[in-house]
Amino acid sequence: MTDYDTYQKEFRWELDFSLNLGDADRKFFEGLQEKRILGKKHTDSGRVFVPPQPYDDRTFTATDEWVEMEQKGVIESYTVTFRQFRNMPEPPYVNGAIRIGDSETCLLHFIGGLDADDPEAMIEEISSGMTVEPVWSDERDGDILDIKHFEPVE
Amino acid sequence: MNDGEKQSSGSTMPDVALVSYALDGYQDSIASRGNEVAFEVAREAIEEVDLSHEDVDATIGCGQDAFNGVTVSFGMKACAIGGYNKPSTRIQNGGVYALTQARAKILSGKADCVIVASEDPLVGFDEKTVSNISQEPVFTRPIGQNFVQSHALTAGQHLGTSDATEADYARVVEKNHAAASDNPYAHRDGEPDVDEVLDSEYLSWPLREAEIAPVSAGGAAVVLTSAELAREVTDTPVWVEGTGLGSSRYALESPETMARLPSLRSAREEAYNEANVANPRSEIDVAEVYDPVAPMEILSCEALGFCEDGEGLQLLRDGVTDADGELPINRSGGAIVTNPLNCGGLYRTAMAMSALRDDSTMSITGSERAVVTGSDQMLGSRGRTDGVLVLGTGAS
Amino acid sequence: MAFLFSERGRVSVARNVGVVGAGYSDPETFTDFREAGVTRSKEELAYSTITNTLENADVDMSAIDATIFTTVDGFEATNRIERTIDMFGQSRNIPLISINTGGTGGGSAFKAAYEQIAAGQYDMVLVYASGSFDSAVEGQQIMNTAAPPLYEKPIISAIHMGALYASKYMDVHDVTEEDLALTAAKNYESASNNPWAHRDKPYSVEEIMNSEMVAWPLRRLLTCPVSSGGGAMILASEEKVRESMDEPVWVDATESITNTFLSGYRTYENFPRLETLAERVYGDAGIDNPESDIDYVETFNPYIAFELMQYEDLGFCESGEGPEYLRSGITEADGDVPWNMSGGVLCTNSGICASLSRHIEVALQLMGDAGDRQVDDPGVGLAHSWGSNLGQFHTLAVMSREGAN
Repeated sequence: MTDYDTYQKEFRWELDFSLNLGDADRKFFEGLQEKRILGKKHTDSGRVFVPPQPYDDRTFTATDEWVEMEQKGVIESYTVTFRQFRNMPEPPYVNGAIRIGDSETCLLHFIGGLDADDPEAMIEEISSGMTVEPVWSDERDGDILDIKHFEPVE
Repeated sequence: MNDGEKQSSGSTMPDVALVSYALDGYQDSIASRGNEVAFEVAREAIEEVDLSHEDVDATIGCGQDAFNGVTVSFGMKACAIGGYNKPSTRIQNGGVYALTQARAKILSGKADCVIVASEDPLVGFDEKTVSNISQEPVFTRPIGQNFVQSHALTAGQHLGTSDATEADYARVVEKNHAAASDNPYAHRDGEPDVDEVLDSEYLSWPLREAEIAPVSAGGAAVVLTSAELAREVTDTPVWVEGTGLGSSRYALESPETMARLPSLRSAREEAYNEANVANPRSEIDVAEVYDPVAPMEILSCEALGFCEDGEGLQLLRDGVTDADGELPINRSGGAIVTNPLNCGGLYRTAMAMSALRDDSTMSITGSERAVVTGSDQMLGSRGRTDGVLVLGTGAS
Repeated sequence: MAFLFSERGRVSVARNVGVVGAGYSDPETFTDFREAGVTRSKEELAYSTITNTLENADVDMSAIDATIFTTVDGFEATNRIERTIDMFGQSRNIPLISINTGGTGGGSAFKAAYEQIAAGQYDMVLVYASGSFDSAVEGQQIMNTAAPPLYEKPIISAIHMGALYASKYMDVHDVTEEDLALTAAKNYESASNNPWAHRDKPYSVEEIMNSEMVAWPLRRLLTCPVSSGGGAMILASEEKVRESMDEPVWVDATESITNTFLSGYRTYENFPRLETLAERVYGDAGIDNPESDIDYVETFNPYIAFELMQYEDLGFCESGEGPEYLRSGITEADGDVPWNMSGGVLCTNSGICASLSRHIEVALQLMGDAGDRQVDDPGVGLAHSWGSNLGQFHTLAVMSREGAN
């Protein structure tokens, strides 16, 4: 409909897409269903990637080996969100870049197990360099949210 | 037409060559994700000429976000095609425009080796809806206009103002399927004849499903180098002798403009000027022409100067454009057989390279010069951009 | 082949390229598009932008022999919207190149025009950057679709991209919220002189520090608004530049660089790829010491911590010294190297236009056409853009006025 007061007209793109999972994705998400975190390794350089990369960007050669990672990570950076965004959880929530083991890449995920009543305190409670571990969802269907969130290790 | 106003720098520019290509997929849906396919074809194209990742100075992607379902979809592909720590960009008009930008990068002195690559990862998305959201939003889109209807309007006009019959469009389909019979990258198989096509149902009159390009999934990469590097890495460089780009407004109320294809004519003018092509019919040996619908192949032959206006039908009927004809058009089967939406221009360029080189089943013995075209007409009107490449073996 | 800048050791290209004009849509279009009755249609915006730019260049549209258009299609209500706006030379059938590299679109289009002209393909190219933020009802929703769909899309949105950097930068270098607020205050002060600024009022450090927290450590006034408005530039060959300008502005060098895709594959405390790109572009432009060789800078600073990080990565100060460099006053209007006198992206983020705006601002400053935000006689300027998933791409351009040193 047209709103003549604001000279605007509303549009919506209705598009559905079906995205092929690659070999690397498929294996990683199968791992999550089994509560395992798998990394893809570039044997020549020893570099490991979680999330898995089908190739090593720097050398432009394929990664070639799967390794099971320890279920621990380190927070590289984080943020606490105070405002509601569409398709995002209700604030406040924390999301962080989490380095699993010695992975080159970080996994982005939510950091939970904190007192949501006091968002300002969350900022102080978390810090870069802190060790976290995954909390698994009971229902897992091969999705990044099979990990409910990560929590600081006591 | 204002072609006369354009300034051409002529043939004094140094040469740029296509030295290798790689293709993957197209027969059916592909099993792996887009960036894996893009990585495979990019690496294969680089390795084929014994170059390494370090030798590549810049990467260029081609393709559109709507064909990937990801905003700024080039982000996902930039490193998959070798872009890490290098310059990169993405041209949305398609492979021919991207190759033209790559050539400019080399001619400008900013690079010796550029890879252009992309992929078409998706199965089961609705290209007709994508073309509908590409229409003018207030007047045209609510009417439900999509690319099939855009082209049907042109075809209807063509039928009404020329000798063309629906059998001619079916003949394009028959010819292209026959040509593709030995193409390892043919997506649609079978060899339908004119009667079978005419017996099938209309999608939008006068166009039938078989006369409309499918959506093909796969990946494509082409490596371009400076003349000096080309001579080092290959014995069979394919020289880019000329490039041309053009755009038009194709108003739905003006189907005669749509049939005349002024943007393709303008692009042709520029490319032929650079390549010093004076008589395309005798100087061009083979052409890969973008035909999102069958009639577009006939009209494009006219716009490319392969015949006088109105005589495209005769070329077809006389078999001139058959795979074994005097001027094969779409030796690969064209977009009617294989139609990667993002990679189409690269795919047709690769097909033209294999026609010019005598090292594949798709070779056309004795061919020395090819024309490749690309456009964004999977989106339909009202805008249109076209690109034209003139490629040569350097033998002539 | 001319070696115009050989005294500065510039790498030569096939043909020299200059800027003959730069401009925006009318000032009142740089606002929040949701405010009633103040916006224009895409066609009207394009007309206003192109008319103003042609006027600045003092050339006619018929002199343009190719157009480069850039946007992010998901932000527009129409896919490949340039095909529906008949103002880019379609009536003369000239090339219309469509570029989409996310937030670096303006820098990429500028670079593509430069390459086409340097190569000898075209003589005068219009670069148009769409004010792409004037149709999406919620920008975050669309920007979120740029994230890796399987791994990161459910986890982060655009604001978090800025927050992850700011958080880590503060942590590693003991940067304070006040440092960020001071940087923002400098930009707001500058924007008050810019008729094309969306947020055009000065804010005190205190007001900034008391504004609403959006995603820690980013408060509302440390984060850009969503603005409308379009921008354009005209680049030309040396021959054409000399026909129309007494004091030509040359493009000494421009290039881009690519990082990995995943947001989780970053160094958050600085932009290492920007450091590498700066080395390359300074090399091409013959710049040995950025602080003494460059007179004016515009960078992409939608999350204000970026400006401090950019002081460091672009070689104006050492790692971690950004806040000190800011406090020295060097980057203020009367400092040695004024930065972001437009108010930057922090004050006006009209989508893809915002990336070309950096180049427009540098060109206007070098041409002496920057109005109330004009700094004193700059000779060499640097323009930067940043974009795609978590700043995967950067572009830089060095421009200079002939005869200036």
